[in-house]
Amino acid sequence: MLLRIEFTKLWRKPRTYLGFAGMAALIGLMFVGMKLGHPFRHIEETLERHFIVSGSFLNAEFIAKHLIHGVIFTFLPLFTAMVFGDLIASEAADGTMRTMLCRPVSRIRVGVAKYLTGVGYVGALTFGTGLGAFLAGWLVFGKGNLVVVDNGIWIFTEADAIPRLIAAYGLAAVSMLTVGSIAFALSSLLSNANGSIIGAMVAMYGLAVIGEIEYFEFLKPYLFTSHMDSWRGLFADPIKTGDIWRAVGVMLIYSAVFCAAGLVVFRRKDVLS
Amino acid sequence: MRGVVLETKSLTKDFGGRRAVDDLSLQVHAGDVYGFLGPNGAGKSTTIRMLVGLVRPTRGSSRLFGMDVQAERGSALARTGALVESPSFYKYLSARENLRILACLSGGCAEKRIDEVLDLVGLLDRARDKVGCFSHGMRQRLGIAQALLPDPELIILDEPTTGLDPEGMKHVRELIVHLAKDLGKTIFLSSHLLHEVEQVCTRVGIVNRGKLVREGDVSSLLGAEAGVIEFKVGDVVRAAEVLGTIPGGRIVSRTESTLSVRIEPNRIPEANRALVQSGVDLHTVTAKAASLEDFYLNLVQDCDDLDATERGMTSEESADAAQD
Repeated sequence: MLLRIEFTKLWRKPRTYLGFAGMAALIGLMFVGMKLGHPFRHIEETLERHFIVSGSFLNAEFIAKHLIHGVIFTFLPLFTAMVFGDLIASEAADGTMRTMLCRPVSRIRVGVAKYLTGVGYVGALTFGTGLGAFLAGWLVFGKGNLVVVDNGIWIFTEADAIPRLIAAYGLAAVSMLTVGSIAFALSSLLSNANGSIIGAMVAMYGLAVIGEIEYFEFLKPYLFTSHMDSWRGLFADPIKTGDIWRAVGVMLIYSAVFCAAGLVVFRRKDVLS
Repeated sequence: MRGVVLETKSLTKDFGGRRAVDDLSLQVHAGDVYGFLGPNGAGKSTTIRMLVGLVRPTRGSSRLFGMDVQAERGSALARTGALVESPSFYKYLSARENLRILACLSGGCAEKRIDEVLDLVGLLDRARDKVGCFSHGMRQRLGIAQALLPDPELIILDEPTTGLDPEGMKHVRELIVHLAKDLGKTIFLSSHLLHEVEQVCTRVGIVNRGKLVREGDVSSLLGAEAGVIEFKVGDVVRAAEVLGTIPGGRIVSRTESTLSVRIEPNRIPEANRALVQSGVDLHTVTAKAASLEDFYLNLVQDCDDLDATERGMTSEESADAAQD
């Protein structure tokens, strides 16, 4: 029941669609760039150096795979943080949380329902982005084999590429869940949506920067940002299964810790707005 | 003896170093229309927030229907409807959708009940409109509707007439009386509008600086306040000097031509005679009807004076501090 209420509120809120609109605009701009420019010349040159190329590697599979690379550290976390950061903070600021919690409903249940709504949104946004890119790519360039140039040249048949793409978007969704969980905890703690969004983004970029500093090398395996590009391991042969499971584990632990922290704060906090 | 519906014991709330509610103990019985009065910042809203579990007390407890609000929140609130401060709703949803969501959180209710409460507050014809385009008064009425939605036995209303036009205020007063008298609901009403409280409440509790300074039946409190006599005189300053010498006499208020004095009835002829003998022109002597407003203002002023005395301030400084 609570979950249905939270989903109703989420899908009726105009701000929810900013993420979808933003990703659609981005896909549109990507296509304009591909049609008018020549952004993948280096891949073409690499391929021509080793193979006789007939046709084009530009297709739905390539675009769907390329998009993850472009958005996983930028737009996807931003739109995810916007929704997770809004879950508690905006209701607290608007006073609707007060109206809601005057009723005989458990705060933990409300908090869990809100978090699960965020999880649903992350899934919809991530897979929606992938599906949108794939369908648009299919429409404009058609389907075909997936060519990946990453420490070598990998060519996956259409039947092989699609499950790998689905898994890659799944991993991207887990990454986004981690960012979202941080925004959720901050949303509960700060009661300020903008502060939660900025805080989550700063945490993500901050940890990414720390992971690049040689002195903190020992921390790298424990930083979730070090695992956000683990999806690349799906486009290798054999698939880097160990790395991927380790990445999922680390990111889910981060998500669980921040979700629990958010719920504990939400359960105990005074509603003063 | 009617059962206790709402009870606080030594309820205390500190925000940092500031004490908002201080050792507050009060009782509301079934069928009471209880007026909860106090100046701004007296701790009324914080108390109400603790009553509905929005704020955790630093010390003490609040119980609804004998159940501790912190320990048994769900059961305690199941028979309670509340409007806490200005009502807030999801602006992108209609009035009906908002109520539907809130009804689900209270365990659900039929569409018919939503229609009933919307009709009760005069918003049935606007049920499908988005709350975002409602005026403040309409939101206030929707706030009252959501409090009534689960057909609660106890209704807590925090400033329910704020933002309403005179007609709307009258409607809400009539609604409160209807809920209490005809439907047997218990009402806990916080309000700044003293004449409103006087008209609808059977009991009042007055808080100042977080403390409960007086509690009782409206009729008995006003009975104690009776005995204020208004003297319309030619020279107010001279008359004040003369009346100040009457044993037990205390000047309550003054205007350019009148003095209101609390005095024992058997001292009135003596006061009358003293004024005439002192050459003060005496135009009229009227027994002033006791009002909750006078009672409240005197009580709050007395509390401020007492507080100022404890802090070593003069009466004028205390009044200035109170205004600040």
